[in-house]
Amino acid sequence: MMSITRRDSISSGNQSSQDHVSPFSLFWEQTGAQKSTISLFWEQTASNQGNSESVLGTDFAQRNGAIPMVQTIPVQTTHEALNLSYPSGFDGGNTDTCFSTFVGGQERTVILPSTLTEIIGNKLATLRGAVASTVDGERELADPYQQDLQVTYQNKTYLLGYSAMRQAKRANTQKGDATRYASVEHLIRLLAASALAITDHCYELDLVTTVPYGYYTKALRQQIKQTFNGSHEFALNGVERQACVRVRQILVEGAPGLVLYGASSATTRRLLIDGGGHTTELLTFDGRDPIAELCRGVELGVETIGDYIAEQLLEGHGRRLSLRERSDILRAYGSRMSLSPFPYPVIACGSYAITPAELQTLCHAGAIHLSEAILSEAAMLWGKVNGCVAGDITYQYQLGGSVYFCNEIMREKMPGLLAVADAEKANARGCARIARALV
Amino acid sequence: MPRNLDENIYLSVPIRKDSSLLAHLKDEAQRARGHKRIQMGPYVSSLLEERDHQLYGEGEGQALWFSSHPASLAQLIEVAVQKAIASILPSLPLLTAPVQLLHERVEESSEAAIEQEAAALAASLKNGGWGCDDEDQ
Repeated sequence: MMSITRRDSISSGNQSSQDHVSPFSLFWEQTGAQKSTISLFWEQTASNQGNSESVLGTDFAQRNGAIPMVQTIPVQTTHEALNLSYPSGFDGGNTDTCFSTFVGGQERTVILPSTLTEIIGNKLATLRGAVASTVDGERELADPYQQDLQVTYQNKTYLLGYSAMRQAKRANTQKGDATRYASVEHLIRLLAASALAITDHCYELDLVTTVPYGYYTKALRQQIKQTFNGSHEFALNGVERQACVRVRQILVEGAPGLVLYGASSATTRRLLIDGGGHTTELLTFDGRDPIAELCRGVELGVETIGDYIAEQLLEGHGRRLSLRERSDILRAYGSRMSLSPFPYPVIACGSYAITPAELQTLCHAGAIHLSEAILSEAAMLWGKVNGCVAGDITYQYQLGGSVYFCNEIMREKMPGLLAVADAEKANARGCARIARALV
Repeated sequence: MPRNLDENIYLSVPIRKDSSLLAHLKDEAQRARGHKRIQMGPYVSSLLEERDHQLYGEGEGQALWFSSHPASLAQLIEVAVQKAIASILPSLPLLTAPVQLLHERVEESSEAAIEQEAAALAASLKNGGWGCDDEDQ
């Protein structure tokens, strides 16, 4: 349900009969930097006042002295059909960025690497021009995760995602930086991901997003709103776009997942472990209410495994990993149980290369370290029953990218810990559902 | 092969002479010869674990599996003890049966249930739930 502004206009002008094309018309009205409304706008002329015939009233009515009378009436409409606003969820993690929304009533979710870097100078453009242009938005990729993304915003140009990992040594995800969630770089991740999901030139986002439990302060929430809210003009791969963002709600990471998966436990005590790239949230809920003293955020995540692998390869083989290699190794291990696992990259070390078996072993050892560290934190928070961490809580959910690395190992001490399907998308998709309910 | 008895536990595992696993291990050992700091423990354990999964997946019964990691060894011993108890006390299967682990994944709730949950949470948030007292709610 949305509000539509109706303007009853009384005109002093004389319109010809060909103006009588419709009793009313809908048109866009920009009422502020952040919000558009639809106006239902018609005009009654001296000739048609008697028979109540309506005349199409456009801006010429105002020019001719029409006096608008504004009235708000509720109209049931489909937001997507009119390109008004898209209820959306955004989870800008330390490894991946996930955006979810509804287009034409259908859910649409985009995942990208969060890696980003600003392009300084035009060396890259020169090189690309000399070889072949790939940042043109036209190339079809088998793997959307690896697509080239170039974003121009406020006269600065950024490489985002896989292309940032490929092209720049100093690219990063701002891992560990508490202010990243309110940064321009984070806004750029949102703009790029939303523009990939939504094809409209101009669009509006009613957004629900998340921050880690440890960063969930009112000050940060306000900073995020200051950065995100408003109209943003940008270009994605050379195509100009405009997004109007309104942050509806900011939640703790992990919690939105319960909307998707927790219906069967909605009235009971339940716990949730959301392991991302750099942080892991340990949350307890009594129904839908979080129990503050049984919640904690720890700085452990999938990148902890990446750090371990990088250290081991540097120590054992004198080989320093690039961001892309590190990402590819983690992605290969994370997809090992899937129907179409990604291959391990070739890690050349002079006269020899590291075998996939050794890379898998390193990943497994890293996953054990991470799982044990999380279990240790969980045991301190929730305690143990008969050797099982949080053994007194029946419903236990695990989501986030760490599911693909740690769930099997963690279940040895938490046998009731169930991984959710599509765990890496749970936060953004849950946020989009909440956004749709809030609008 | 250098052995680090502090960090790793070593078990001897029989491998058939003409098996592909042995050929694979020899090949890996050959390649590893030039590296001073190569870690053979996890190296070998990975190969054996892979072989075990192959056997198990082919329905040939669960093979003995090995890993240098203590957690894996503990699991191995646990399974062996359970088997031993089961052979001694066949009439008490309930006591000796392994705990049923919940390996399935949680699938999404029904569309109606998701909508209901989202609406309930949204209502809670609008009423200042979750400590969300931001001024624009």
